Amino acid sequence: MAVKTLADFDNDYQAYADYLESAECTNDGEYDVIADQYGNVYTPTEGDWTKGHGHKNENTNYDRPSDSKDSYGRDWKNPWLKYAGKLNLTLAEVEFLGLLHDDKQNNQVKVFAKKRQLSKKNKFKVK
Amino acid sequence: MENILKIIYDKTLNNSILNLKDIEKILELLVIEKELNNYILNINVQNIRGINLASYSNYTKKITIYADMIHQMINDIENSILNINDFEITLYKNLSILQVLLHEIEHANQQKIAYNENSLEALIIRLSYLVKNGYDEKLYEYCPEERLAEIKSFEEIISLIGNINNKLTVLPDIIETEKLKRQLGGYHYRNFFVSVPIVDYFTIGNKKDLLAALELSSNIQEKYELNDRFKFGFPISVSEYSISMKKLILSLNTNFNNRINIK
Repeated sequence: MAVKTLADFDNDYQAYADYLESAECTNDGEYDVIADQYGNVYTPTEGDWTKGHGHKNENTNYDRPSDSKDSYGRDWKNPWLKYAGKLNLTLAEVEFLGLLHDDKQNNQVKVFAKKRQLSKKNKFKVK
Repeated sequence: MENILKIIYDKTLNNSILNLKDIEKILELLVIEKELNNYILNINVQNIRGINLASYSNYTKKITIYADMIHQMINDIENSILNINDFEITLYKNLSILQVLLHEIEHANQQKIAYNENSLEALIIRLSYLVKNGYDEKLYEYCPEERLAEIKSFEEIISLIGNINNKLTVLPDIIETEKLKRQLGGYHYRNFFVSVPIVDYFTIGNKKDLLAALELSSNIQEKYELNDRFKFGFPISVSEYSISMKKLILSLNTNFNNRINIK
């Protein structure tokens, strides 16, 4: 069975979100294995995600049985406010925005960008 | 919010910065006003130096404020702001502390929205919860919860100072600039395209399949206003990026010293 869309829930966002988080959706997507970037590999119990899932970590070789209570629900995380006082731009963005040629902009931007270019060129030559 | 404005305004008139007692009072008022009693159970202040100003735990329902970092933020404002009178500098510092509190309060509010409101925002927050981003610093600028908390907190501050705009000269523009900076967060120009924060978030977070739920079709620019697209991290055009980013840079260069970093 194909994964349902928002239209299948008459644009009921809550019902749709419930479904997307559910084992039913994972079954509908016909997923046999789910892996994440931390090396965790999950497999359904008896081919059915509603019966829970096993967990194997390929990095640590840690195995969790599929009937573990941790096989249900999901982890909560901790949103944090990171301090970033400055606007970060890449050289490509500086060039695209024409900051190197725009007299209205602060000279500081031009100087920084040129210094960065020079330092990158020098590094390249050394290598 | 008027009672919070009064606390901040009176402090500013005395040329004082909000202290711990004021912060607790403001958080208390926000919890009552936004009906978040079930979502914020504790407030904690720590003197840890790091990169975090504050945090909210969905699990413990606790807001933590990192006092040393708040102090650093206030010093940075003192050292970088230009062309503004003393009253507005102090007000800006106090509003910056308020923004940190509103940001964390918004994370608690997101819990409420996620499971009680029937909206696109609720869907996006719930999808965002499915990405485990706690360990991945590079996901921060793309994270829908973080972007929403930043943009909405500045919207609230803009609305708040609307009551005293006749007493201010440049501060409203500076707050608008701060909001624009948050709106542009996560958008990057690369190879003739502007990257899309919500796409980068779910792609890097290894949950690309969830993007299908958001129906990011080609007519998205007609479907949603620019402000909404900024808020949700949806696609913007190259010209929208260019115009907004130039406006932001011009304002940063006019009002601040050394607020642009080129990587």
